[in-house]
Amino acid sequence: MNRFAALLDRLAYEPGRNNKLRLITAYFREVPDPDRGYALAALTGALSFKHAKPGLIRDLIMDRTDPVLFGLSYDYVGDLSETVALMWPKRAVSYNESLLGHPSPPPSPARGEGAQLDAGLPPQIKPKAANETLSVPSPLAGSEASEARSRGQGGGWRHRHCPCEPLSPTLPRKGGGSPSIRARITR
Amino acid sequence: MMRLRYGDDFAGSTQAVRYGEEIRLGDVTVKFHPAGHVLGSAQIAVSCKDTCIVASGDYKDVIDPTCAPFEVVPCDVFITEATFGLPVFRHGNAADEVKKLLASVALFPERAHLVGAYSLGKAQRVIALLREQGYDAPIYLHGAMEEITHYYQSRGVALGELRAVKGMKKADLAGTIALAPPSATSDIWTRRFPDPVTAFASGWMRVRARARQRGVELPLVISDHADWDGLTATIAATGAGEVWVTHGQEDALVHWCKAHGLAARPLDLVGYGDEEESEAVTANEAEA
Repeated sequence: MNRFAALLDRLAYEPGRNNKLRLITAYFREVPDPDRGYALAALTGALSFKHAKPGLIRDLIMDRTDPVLFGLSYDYVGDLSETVALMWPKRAVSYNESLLGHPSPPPSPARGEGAQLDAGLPPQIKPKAANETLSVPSPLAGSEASEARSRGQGGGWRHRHCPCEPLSPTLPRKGGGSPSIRARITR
Repeated sequence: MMRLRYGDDFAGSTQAVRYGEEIRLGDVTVKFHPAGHVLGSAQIAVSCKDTCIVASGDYKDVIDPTCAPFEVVPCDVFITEATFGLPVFRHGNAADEVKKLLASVALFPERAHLVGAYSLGKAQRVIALLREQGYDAPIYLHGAMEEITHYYQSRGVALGELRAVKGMKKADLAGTIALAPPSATSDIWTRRFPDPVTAFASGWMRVRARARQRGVELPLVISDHADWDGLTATIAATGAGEVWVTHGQEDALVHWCKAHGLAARPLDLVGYGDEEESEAVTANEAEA
């Protein structure tokens, strides 16, 4: 998902709407499944991270860094998730590895061609069953969904608290991954 | 280079010294070692009897095609810079940053890419990195960096075909890469470019607030200073028992040294630390 992180980074700095569309189009053209699917879910507000809250993230970094150095860094950067992402201990990683680091799950009705057709439709008219069989938790069925979508449409992703914000490309991938990744794996 | 930047009277007297050459001053010997920061940059080792003190000056411990590589000099006291002396600064691979720039040029062929880069060292390194990635189109230069860049070429640093931005038609700059001092990327000089993508090559680009503050659209984390891992690895490699920290974020590095059993203290020098950000361009240069 480093390519997705790079996309988010670029979108965050790019002021022009048409240029943003170009960036998004290029991303979806270039990146294979399943990463592209996760990216679509993240961009449309279909992912939620129940466990990755500031307290947990703070605890995770406290276990891994010197508290004084963390304090100085947090003061300097001014944003908790960014500070943690930048400070996260390095480990050798393969840059082209997919997010979860294991083979993609087998196709299911929710992931096959039918699901891809559905992806273009507004979430509320999707068959409910499809949502339920998604292994990635989706808030789309509930009222949270329309709220997330309205925010997503207007303000763009960066106005939301999104724990899947660009992580450093040097982050570890497997097992003890970043807070957002770990939260997802443990679900 | 001092002469190019500060004029003929930049120093009262001068003496050329080679890397590794030993100079004796009474009981004291002085030796210069490559610092890997920019062309000609040096650490200075001062030895007297059993004690050796090394002043690093600005340095980086990664490969740079435009200058001699950093050399670890074992010593008793190491005076280190700390421009990026916080663990949030990890610069990553400069080649990947340049790939990011080239990917953007490919995606937006009708726009110009304007890269802000400190005109001594950084600009030439960015050009050399672009050439390493196989980019062989002409690269355009702001007038303020022509002289120093040509000096690099005269010292045998291969930078490929370079052209002046001055005199170019706006439409002809579409799809090109141009380099300018950081301050020029946010002034009216940029109006001569077609819908420019503003990039900035600096270690500061690691922190978003810094990039946003400058209105940068494409931050490139390319630094001529050691990052946190480079600073701490270098301190350990010198074997110094005492470390003096200067030029930047002293507190965190002093804390790290003490936590690792080294005597350490900050040396507070005024006016250092932000140089990559604050390069002034005179009105004449900005015109060029």
